[in-house]
Amino acid sequence: MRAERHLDFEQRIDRSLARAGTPEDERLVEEHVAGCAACGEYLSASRRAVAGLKGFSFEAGVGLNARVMAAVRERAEQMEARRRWMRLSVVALVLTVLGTVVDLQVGRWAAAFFGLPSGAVHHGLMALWIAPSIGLLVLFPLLPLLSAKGNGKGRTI
Amino acid sequence: MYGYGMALANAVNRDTGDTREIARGLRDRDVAVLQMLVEEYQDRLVRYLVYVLGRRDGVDDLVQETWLRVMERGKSYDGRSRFEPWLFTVARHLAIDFLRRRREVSLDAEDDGRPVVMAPVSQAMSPFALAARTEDAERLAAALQGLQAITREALVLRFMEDMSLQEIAAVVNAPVPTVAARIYRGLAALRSQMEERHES
Repeated sequence: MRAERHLDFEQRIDRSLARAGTPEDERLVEEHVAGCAACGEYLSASRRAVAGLKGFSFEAGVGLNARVMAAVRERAEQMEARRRWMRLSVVALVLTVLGTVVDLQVGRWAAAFFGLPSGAVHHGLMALWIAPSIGLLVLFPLLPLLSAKGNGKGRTI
Repeated sequence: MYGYGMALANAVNRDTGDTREIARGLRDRDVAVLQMLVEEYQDRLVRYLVYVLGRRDGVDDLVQETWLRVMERGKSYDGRSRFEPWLFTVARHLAIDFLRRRREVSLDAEDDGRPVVMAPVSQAMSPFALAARTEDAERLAAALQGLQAITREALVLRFMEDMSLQEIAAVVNAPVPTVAARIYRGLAALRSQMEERHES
């Protein structure tokens, strides 16, 4: 049992261990502990407790690193595939917009220039350009999802 | 792409220059850099999560989920600070989700006077008792298991990861005085174990 406790120095010791103290705290603790058995025991018990924490051994389970890296590689491939399809989706979007602009702005002029009925040019553009572009625009974002479902790689954990 | 991994092999996170290399590797989603980081930090990540969860089961899944999140959100690490606090912040968010799913311990609501519910874990199953390698550690195991998760977390970050109070505050998203109070509380609990031994 300690004969006399010095709470202010115990708090300084705690602050010092938590790295919340000032250099002045450190100096005062050092000087005080040299002549105070109770605070010396407090500091010693604190240091033993901290040292005791290093007596635990927590290691990753056998095979955990390999399992993690397999999941990381798989996820990286999925993300890369998703990026690839997204880039193609952007191309499809650009084609759709471009086809619509051509249809609206250039279609009539081209029909008149080549002596074709404007309705035929419009339908031609719709069938050969705009509709396929819209189809790709819808299809591309769905492909990675369909692919993940198909090969069972929707989840990695 | 794999060049960063080789550059990293010699000096992972030894100084700020290396944190820039880590940031660049994560930004490029370089699998070799990820592998290097996994090998370097895996045991510490396991230890951190065991301290936070107070259990061993479920930790491996969380570790895997953490590294996947690191890869997915690696762009948000800028390399201007140490890698460990950023890694533990990622792991912490996942641990919070894990604990919420299991409705056990709250890591994000504390110091409001309400008692924190602890999952009943038998002493035989305590991960600390199982991991104790010294006599002192065996004595501390029970005390650690009885601490609040947030207190254990502060202890492991301060004394095992050697983080500053500011770094810990950033990881746990709490003010520095709150973090310091958690450390004092944890120290008091552990110290009493040591004093009991001394007196006995």
